[in-house]
Parts: sequence; structure tokens; C-alpha cells
Amino acid sequence: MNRTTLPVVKTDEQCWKTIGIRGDRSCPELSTHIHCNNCPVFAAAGRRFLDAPSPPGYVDEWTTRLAIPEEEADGERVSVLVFRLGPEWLALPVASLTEVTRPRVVHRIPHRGGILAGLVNIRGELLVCVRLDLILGTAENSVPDHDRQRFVVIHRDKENWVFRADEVDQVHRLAMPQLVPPAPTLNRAQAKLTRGVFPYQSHSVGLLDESRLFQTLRERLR
Amino acid sequence: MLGLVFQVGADKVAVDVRRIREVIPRVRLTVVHGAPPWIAGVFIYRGRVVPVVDLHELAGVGPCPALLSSRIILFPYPLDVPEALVGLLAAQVAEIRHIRPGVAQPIPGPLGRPSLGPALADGEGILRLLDPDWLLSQVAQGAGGLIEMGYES
Repeated sequence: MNRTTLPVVKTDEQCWKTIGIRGDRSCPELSTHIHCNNCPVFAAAGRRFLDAPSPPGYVDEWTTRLAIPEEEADGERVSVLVFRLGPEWLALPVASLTEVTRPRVVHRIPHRGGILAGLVNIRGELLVCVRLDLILGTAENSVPDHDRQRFVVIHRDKENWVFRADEVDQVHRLAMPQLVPPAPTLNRAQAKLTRGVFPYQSHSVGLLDESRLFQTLRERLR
Repeated sequence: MLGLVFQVGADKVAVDVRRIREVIPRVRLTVVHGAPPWIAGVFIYRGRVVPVVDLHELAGVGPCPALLSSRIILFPYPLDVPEALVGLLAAQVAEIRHIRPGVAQPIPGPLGRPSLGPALADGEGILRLLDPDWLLSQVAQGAGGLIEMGYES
């Protein structure tokens, strides 16, 4: 794809680098805005990035894309987050999702192991990190790719849990009629926690039953 | 009121976000021959033809700049026709913020054309409050049957 350079704000106008949060912090506005991110000058500079000519093909691409009629909605649709545990692709409804973060240090709890991986600091809050792969009995991935690993924070009512995913794909709009019952060959633990399977890109993804998952977590980590 | 703030020439204009259907990037517009200059053209939006009004031309400040920040704001119009839409092309469509409604001062538009709306003091500057339904009804009169093309297709 062709790329054109966007007009960058002139160096001498980048006050956030001289008197702001990345400079000597002498800006009088800092006392009211605390951080340059909250300052209207910074916001206005950010908007100037859009005062650029459209990249080649941009207008044509949007013209074609917007001309396509909207696909007919076939049944109920649910947004699910698609992620991978070892070789297994799974999904959870976004309603039970709090956030996805980069991997953090897991503090092990002495004399506890198994499905309890430890405690993780998520935005200053200590949350319990669980081994979802052990709960579901998915096969261990031989070579974990640390660049792709993510921590997924899930919640229900006031409970929060964290688990490590080997890869997080994206949020997918799943048409519920696409969901088929899981294969009978699935192991028992996973079959109990799976609501169904749907095709996604080139693999099939198991949609986890979030209420059963939370119930299992609660029972097994009491 | 939560308003979408954009630029028309030197004027800052705000419109109530509840009236907006969608904001889309600039697209390639098909010129309608014989139409007034402020009709930028028509384009196909999800299988129907939608006319686009260039607010810069309407305000008499030349054509809308061809930049990434220039976008088309889609409004349902006329309201009694389901699915009918009209687009307004404006510049710097990049900000949504709370607007404190105050005493607004009516300002006339260019001779024989609708104005962008009354003006009110907004911080250090002047903000025009645009009523899309009023503006589009005025434009529809000036453009003959053109707006109807939006829903007859």
C-alpha cells in the first residue's frame, strides 16, 4: 500500500516536549491539566494530523466500500473475543471481558499451584490469575510465543479473573445460527464449558459458556 | 448538548449529535449537471443514492478542502421518508464535545442562501449552531427536486 507522510507538527511548536510532560514541566497549564494528554493544545495538535491530503486510493476505497448494501442480519449476533490457548482457538462474549493487557509478572502463591497461577497486578489491583488451559484440559503449546501472549481480564458481577492467552485475535461479530454443538470427541472438562463451535477464518472456534466458566472458577478456587 | 464540531471556512459549526446518522470519509461524488454549486454531487451509500451538500460552497467560501479531515455527515432527511439520507460535506470534522446552549444571535447567510445558523459565544470563539432539518429544507427548495433523488431510487 502507498503511504504518504502526514504533516508533523513543527518541532518548535511541540510544547509538550519542551515545557510539558516530556520536557522540563515548566508549563503553567500543567497545574490545571496534570498531563499534556488532557490539554487542549495537545488535542488540537493531534487533530492537525488529519489535515493531510487523502492517501492514494483512499477515496476510491471508501466509495466502493460504502456502496455495498448492508448484509441482512440473520438472527441474533453476539460480539465475542477470539483467543488461542495452546493449539485451541476459543471465544468469550465481550460482555464478560474487562480488558486485554500485555503479559505481566505473576506472583506465585506459596504452597498453591495447579490451576491457580498466582496474583497479577492489573492497574494497581491484585487479581487472581488462573490457568485456563488446565481447567479446560487443552494440550500444552510446545513453544510459547511470548510476543503474542496476552493477559485477559474477565469479570462477572464483582469477581475478576485473569488468564493468560497464547494469542488474542480480535472481537468477532458472531451470528448465533452459525453456532453448532461441539464435537463429541471433545474432552469432558472442555465440553462442559463450551456452548458451541463456530467457523472463523480457517479454524473452528469454541465459544465458552461464561456462566459455567465462572461457576467452575468459583468452585475450584475456593 | 453533545455536539459534533466542524469547520466551514472560518466558522466553527456545531450540530447536535442526536440528529446525525453517521459520519463517513469523503467519497468520490458523481457531479449532478445543472445543480446549484453547493450540491457537491451524489454517491451510492449502501445501495441507495444520497445527495451531498458542500457547506463551504453554500457559505460562499469556495469548495471544501480535499483533506482527510473533511468528511461527510449523514442526516436522515426528509424525516417522513424512511431510509432517506442527505450528506453535508464539511472540513475538520474531528471533535465531539459538550456545548452549553446559551443566547444565540441570528446571523444571516450569503444573499439568497440559508445561513449556517445562529451564533453563540463558545469559550474564546464563536460557534454556529446548525439545525440540519431547517438547513436541508431550505436547500431542498433551492435545489428543486434534487433532494428527492435521495429516496426515490
